[in-house]
Amino acid sequence: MRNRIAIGLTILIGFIVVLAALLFAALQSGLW
Amino acid sequence: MSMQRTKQIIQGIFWILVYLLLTLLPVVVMFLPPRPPGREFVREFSVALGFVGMAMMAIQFALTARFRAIKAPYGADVVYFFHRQVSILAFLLILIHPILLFVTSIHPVSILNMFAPDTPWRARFAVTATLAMAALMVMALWRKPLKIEYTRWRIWHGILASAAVAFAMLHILGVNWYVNTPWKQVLWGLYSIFWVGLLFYTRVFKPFMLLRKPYEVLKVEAERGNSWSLYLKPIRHAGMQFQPGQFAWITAWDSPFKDSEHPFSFSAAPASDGSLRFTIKELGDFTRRIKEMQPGQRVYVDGPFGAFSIDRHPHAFGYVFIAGGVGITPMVSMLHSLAQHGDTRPHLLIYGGKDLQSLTLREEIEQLKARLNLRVVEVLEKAPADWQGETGFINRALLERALPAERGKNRMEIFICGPKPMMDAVEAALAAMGVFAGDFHSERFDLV
Repeated sequence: MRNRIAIGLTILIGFIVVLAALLFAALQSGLW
Repeated sequence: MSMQRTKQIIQGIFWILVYLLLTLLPVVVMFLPPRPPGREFVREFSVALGFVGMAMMAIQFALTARFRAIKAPYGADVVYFFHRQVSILAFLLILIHPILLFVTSIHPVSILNMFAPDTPWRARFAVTATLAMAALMVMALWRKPLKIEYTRWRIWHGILASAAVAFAMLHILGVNWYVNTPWKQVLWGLYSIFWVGLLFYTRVFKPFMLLRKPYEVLKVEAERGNSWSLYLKPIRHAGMQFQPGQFAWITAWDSPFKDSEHPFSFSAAPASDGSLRFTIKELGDFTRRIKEMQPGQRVYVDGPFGAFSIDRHPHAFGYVFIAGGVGITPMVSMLHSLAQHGDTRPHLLIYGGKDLQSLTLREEIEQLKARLNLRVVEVLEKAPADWQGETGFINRALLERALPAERGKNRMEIFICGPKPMMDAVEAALAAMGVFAGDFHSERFDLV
């Protein structure tokens, strides 16, 4: 159970950082 | 939901936000002016992933540092497991970074050949960092099948991690695109020095300081309630200054360089000769071995920690201590300290236990009663036939009976320590009775 907290957190953080990287790339490349 | 739980959840969310902030900081800094001209989407995405992966790898150092504040809301086990899980994520992000550049032919794959004369140094640094990271991952995920001994593994883990971050940093400086201004270079330099410094502090400096201030076992005495009192004395140093009610982390049978410490409350008042006493209940592998400790054996004590102390609330009209089982230890430490100072204020101890035999340090509390203005209410789940005291659990009805009628704000400071269900029940009962939340203090030992 307690390890699921860590797995859940990792997935959440992975999702957020990939979104942030996509946003950065879109803004910086002038795509958006 | 108890106050403590709410506080833990808020602290938990706070540290997740700090983590995200630190992870995304590089991307924010990249975006700040002066900003280099934009390039292809894939390249920018790949670079952002590289920077984020790098930040995550750097933060790994802090996750295993001995910061009690970070570990407290989750438990150290969850933090270690997260460290392991998130390293896989960070490694994936770092691997995707060059792969995206190769599949879109932004760079030729031949750039990976470190020994080709025309390979730029920035690529050599990147390959070295990635190899160090790969070795780090393999050794960490398959340490046991690879039969790598723990202490040796720990040393290599630190060396490879530091090397990976250092070479990744050289790669970033070598590319010199998003670190195009002196202030960004200084910031990145400080960022990496900070993380490596942290590793050095927690893994080398702090254990080294503990090693220089060892303690030796004077004696181990059996107590009621399957518990043992461990008496320690400092070897050629003055010991530590602690406040009664605080706790420390004990390392025994191992070097302080191994991360195998366990938290226990002091059960005596601070002594002028620096000697310490801990009273420890047999609950797990480590605590079951306390009784095997031999006089003269070396142990290491890292502390003190915690805010659970009467010394933080010196102006109270009196103190109420509510203890369950071995939760009595910090209370006894505080009572001894009060007796030492000849305290005359009225104090109350409510002490709950399964049966008479489980009331650890009961005789000592009897003796303290003679030296203090102390009333003791013992509450037994299973009382003997001739029992005159309270029975059952510490609940609201009992608290209404036992607590002094005059308990206006800041007059009585209430300290609670015991098993989780007991603490939840007592905290809820006190809140329902209208006791001010700031007037009661809890200590929980389920953080490890």
